[in-house]
Amino acid sequence: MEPQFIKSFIQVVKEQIVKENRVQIDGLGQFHKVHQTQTQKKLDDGRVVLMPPKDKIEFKPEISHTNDDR
Amino acid sequence: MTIDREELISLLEEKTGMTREDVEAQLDELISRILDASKRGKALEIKGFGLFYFDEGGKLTFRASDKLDSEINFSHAGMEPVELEPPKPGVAPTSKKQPEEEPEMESADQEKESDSDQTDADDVFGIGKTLAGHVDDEDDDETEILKPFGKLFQEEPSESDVKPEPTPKEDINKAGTAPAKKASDSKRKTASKSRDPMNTIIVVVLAGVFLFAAYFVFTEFINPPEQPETSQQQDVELEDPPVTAERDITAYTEPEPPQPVQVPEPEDDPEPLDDPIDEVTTTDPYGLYGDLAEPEGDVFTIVVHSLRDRGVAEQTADELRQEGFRITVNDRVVDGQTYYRVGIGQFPTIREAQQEATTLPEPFNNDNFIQRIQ
Repeated sequence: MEPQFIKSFIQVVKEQIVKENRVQIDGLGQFHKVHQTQTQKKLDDGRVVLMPPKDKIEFKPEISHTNDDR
Repeated sequence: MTIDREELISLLEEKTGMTREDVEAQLDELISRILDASKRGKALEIKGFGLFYFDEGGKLTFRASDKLDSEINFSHAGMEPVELEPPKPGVAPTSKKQPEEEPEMESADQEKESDSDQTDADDVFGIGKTLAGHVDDEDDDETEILKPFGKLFQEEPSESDVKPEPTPKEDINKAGTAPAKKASDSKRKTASKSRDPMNTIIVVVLAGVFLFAAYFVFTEFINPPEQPETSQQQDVELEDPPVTAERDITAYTEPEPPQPVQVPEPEDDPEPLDDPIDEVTTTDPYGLYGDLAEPEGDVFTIVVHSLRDRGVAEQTADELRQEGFRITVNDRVVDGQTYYRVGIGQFPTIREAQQEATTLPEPFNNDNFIQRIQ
């Protein structure tokens, strides 16, 4: 596997996700970006903190396998 | 829009300069290696991208690397959790600062979270969070897009990245180094920061008793006739400091360029000569709409744009001003890069700002954060 290919693969997927596009990889699944708005969180010591907004990558798998396959 | 296999191969062809057949072969090999490793119960890591593995339910799972996560999240760089309520008295601070979302996540991620929990309540999503591996290698000419928190995207950091391992894994590039040092540093920091609150209480109580005793001795035995005067003087002193103190709370505000409109003018007031003092007192310095004012005390704003170009930020601010919003532009330096943050409204508390943020039009009501500006 060529390092140049891996590097380019990462770049392409990243660019497309940032552009709000979904990237479908047949045989694996689909990548896309989700936005999480700011949330309040209560910590164990009683403090309440406001967590900043965040973007996350989500992966929706195309395949799964049962324990029998392992 | 969805990028399918054909489109992905075309993009890769363009990016790598390889032939279509080669790209297809490489892509198929990558997919089969991910699946092979996962089926053998191992996780396959693509360095700088993430981990693939089958979870306990037999579902193929992907976890983005810190580096990828940071890059995707770049528009929110520098934001930190803000403390809204202090810890309850009597509850000893624990070393575990935050419930873990994912039990498997350890070391680097956890350290970031616990560190960020220590932030001051005064710094509302302020300065200070360093995102690992954010260095521009290429595409420096990419400019910001006007959409709120749009695509301030930077490519390919050059620093190496360290990944936690949930399961035994294969590294497609090179094996990463264990983040043990970081974890121990984090523990040390947490331990030094968590103090026993009882010590503080005892010190405060003792100091109070001592002061009271000193005051009592002074007034009763040394200088009894002056008692009424000293108490009056104390009353006066108690009233004075807040005025000067409020003026001094400007530590977080960077020197601002002169705002075009600072003093609200009585434009349409039919009775301008009646009582000018009354007019000043009834003008509300807070709220979403209106001209900029300089209220005393804390001021928070709803940031809806974070841009690298000052001109674009000012232009965006002008457009919003024309819609009647009360607009501020503040600059912040994050990782050596100056960002100009366009904020809507002025509010005395975070809660009010949060409430008003929900009333903003799309997309600002979903894509914003609160920042302290005074």
